[in-house]
This record gives sequence, C-alpha cells and structure tokens, in this order.
Amino acid sequence: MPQSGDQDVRTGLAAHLVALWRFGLVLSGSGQAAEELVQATCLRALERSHQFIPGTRLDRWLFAIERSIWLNEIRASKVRNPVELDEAEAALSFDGERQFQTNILAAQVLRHVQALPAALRETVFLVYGEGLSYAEAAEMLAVPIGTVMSRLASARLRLAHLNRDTPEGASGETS
Amino acid sequence: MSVEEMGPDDAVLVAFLDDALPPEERAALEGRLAREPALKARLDALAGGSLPFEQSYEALTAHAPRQRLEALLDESLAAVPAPVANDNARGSRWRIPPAAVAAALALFVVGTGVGHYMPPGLWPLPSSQRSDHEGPDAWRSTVADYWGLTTSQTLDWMPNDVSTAQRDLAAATRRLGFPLTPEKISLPAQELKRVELFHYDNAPLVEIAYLDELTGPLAFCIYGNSPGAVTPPTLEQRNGFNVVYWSDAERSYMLIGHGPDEIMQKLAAMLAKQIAA
Repeated sequence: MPQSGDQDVRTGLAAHLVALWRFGLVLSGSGQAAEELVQATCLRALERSHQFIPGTRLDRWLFAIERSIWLNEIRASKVRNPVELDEAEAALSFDGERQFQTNILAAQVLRHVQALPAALRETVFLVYGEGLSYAEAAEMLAVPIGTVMSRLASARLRLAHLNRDTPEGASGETS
Repeated sequence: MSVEEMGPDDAVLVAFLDDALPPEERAALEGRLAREPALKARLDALAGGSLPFEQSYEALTAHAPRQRLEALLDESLAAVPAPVANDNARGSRWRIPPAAVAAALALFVVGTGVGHYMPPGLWPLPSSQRSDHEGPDAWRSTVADYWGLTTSQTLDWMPNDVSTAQRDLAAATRRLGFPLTPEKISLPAQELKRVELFHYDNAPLVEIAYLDELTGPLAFCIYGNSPGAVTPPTLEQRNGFNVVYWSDAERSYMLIGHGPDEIMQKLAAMLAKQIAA
C-alpha cells in the first residue's frame, strides 16, 4: 500500500481540526488568522501527504506544518503584532452570563498565557495543553530540551500571580 | 531572585513539578529540597504557576467554529484530489527538446563573450545598499534578500524528482489560480530543482529554482499581484543580482540570477512567451 500515508492524512484530518484551530489561535492571537491557518495547513498536509509516515502521530505532524506556515508565510502579513488578546478571551466569554465558572478561570488563564512572549505561549500550549513530552516539544520547536524546560519555568513564574492575586480564583470565584 | 531572572535549578524543578524526572533524579532532588530552604522556596514559586492549562484550552474547544472548519477541510479535499494508485502512469520527464538545448548552448557561447560571470556568493551585500521593502517593487526586494541565501550547494544535492515537481506545480497552480505546467516553466539548459510556494503581502508567491552550471542558482518567481499595468521585461540590478521583471494584468514576474544581462533577458523573454502561450 504505497499510498497509506496519503490515506491516513485524508481520513485523519477531520479529527484534528479543532486542535489545529486552537493552535492557530495560540500562534496568531486572532480567530480569523486561526481559520486561515487551518485551511492552509489542510491544503499543505494534503499536498504533502506522501511524506507522512504511517504509524506516527498525525496531530504532531500537522502542528509542525501549521507552525511552519505561520512562521514563514502568514505571520509576516499580519502586521498587528501585539497579540490580540481580546479575541481569545471573546471566544470564551461568548456565552456571557451563563458561562460556567470554570470557564471564567479558563478565560483568565488563556488571556494571561496569550500575553506571554510567543516562544513561551507556544511551549505552554504544546506541553501543558496538548501533552507533548519535553522531547517532542523540543523537536517541534527546534530547540534543546533544556530550553523547553526553561521556557516552562519562565511561563510559570510569570503566571504565578494568577494564583496569588485571586486565591479563590481556582475555586471559580467570579466577582 | 526576581521573576524575570532564571534560577540555575529552574529547569529541573519544572521537570519535578511536571513529574518528568527519572526516579533517581527525583529522589536526589527531594533530598536537596529537604536540606535547602531556598530551593524549596523556588519550587513553591514555580508551583504557583501550576494552572489548569489543559482545561483552559479544552474550554476553548466549545467555541471552535466547527462547521466552518469542516467546510474548509472539504474545500481542501476537493482542491487536492487523492493521488492515483500508480504514480508512474504518465512517466513524463522534464522533457527538453533537443533544439532548445542547442539554442541554449548558442546563448551561452554568446554569453561568455559579452557577459561577466561572478560566482554566486561572492557578491558583497552592504546593508546600506539593501533596497528597502516598501513600494511596488518591495516583493522583488524580499525575493532578492531571500535568494541571496541560496547557493549552488543549496540546490546541488536535490534530486530531480519529477513526481514531486509535478505535485508542487499542481499546488502552485491551485494557489495562483493559473495553470503552471512543466512546459510553461522549462528552460533550455537550466535544471529545474524545486518549486516553492510562499505568501507575500496577502498574495501567493511561487518560486521556481533552477541550477545553471555556469552561473549558479537561478529563480523564476510568479507573484499573484500585479501593479495593474502590463510592463515589458525590464532589467535591473538588485542585491548584486541581475533581475528581469515584468507584469501582466494579474501577476508580476521576475527572473533572478547571476547570468549576464543578455542571457537573463533572453531567458526572461522565453519564459514570458511560454507563460502567455
């Protein structure tokens, strides 16, 4: 079956659309750019499907493509460099009053993670959000494992105030 | 220690918190934590950043525009048909008519007489001479900057993989909305090495790289954006390269390399004619 990699990609993409959209949001900070990224990633993955090795993780392969498209093609055309936090947050507060309490905390966490420098927020997403091992994240980000750990440490220190400032935040207190 | 300042043990402390340490390292660190209050304080500071990351990203899932994403996937699947079972079915090569080879040899015989060859990579590129990246020629400036990184060695090792090139040309065709066939981009004596797709200022940019034995890397670029007017092939110097650029109503084109003026102009004329055919 010489085309099995092709088939895996064609049939497997659908299951990863939401994860790709989330990563797109993390990378770009913009809902519109996230959708552009998903489409560009789908196209590129289908065009390159013969390069996918059956038996390996499709989501990791797709993340690597999406990140490469963001860095090399789309980022430069998005002049709005300061991260647009509002959109990620708006996506969460969409339901307004009826928001689950846990989502209030989620919105806070996301807003603060999105405010981190790009290198930190993508590392946090990949390791803590998507469960990549340090080694997997290091490979995808093309940095040493120690750098992944240092970035996580730096992110943790910068975010620790969330627990300090709102000690009741973790229990979902909203006002 | 301030928040900004990284501690010497931060990485290992994070691994401890993430339960990613091998047992023996974990035991060693636990021993140190019991003995070193400063280390324990640092661990507590890092633990303060233990937040419900996974749940937060998961919460985002409920707000994903699923229907739109699925529609985007359907569009992509329709745009890139599944490969046929037998890739060798057509078996077509990058066929170069013998007459064209002869013509190219003639071109180069002429070229060595009038031109000057400068091995690629020897051109100085003082930053003061770099063209800026504003205005209608900004894309050419960007391409020239990028192309400056390409040497003969970059392309030399690449096999002439016909099926990959055809696939990439098909992708470029979809991106540009304009049929790019091997015939439209073949050059007589320059070996096609790769087709790359870029995006520049919200428009597709396709770069077709060739290797010329005499003058090194040569690129033909098609940019899906036009100044609006039809301009004839014009020669310019850019970053030490010879560039010939032209445009039609919908797209802009450039040929960039180290070939002598006359050859670059002839090759550009050839490409312009093939593209318009």
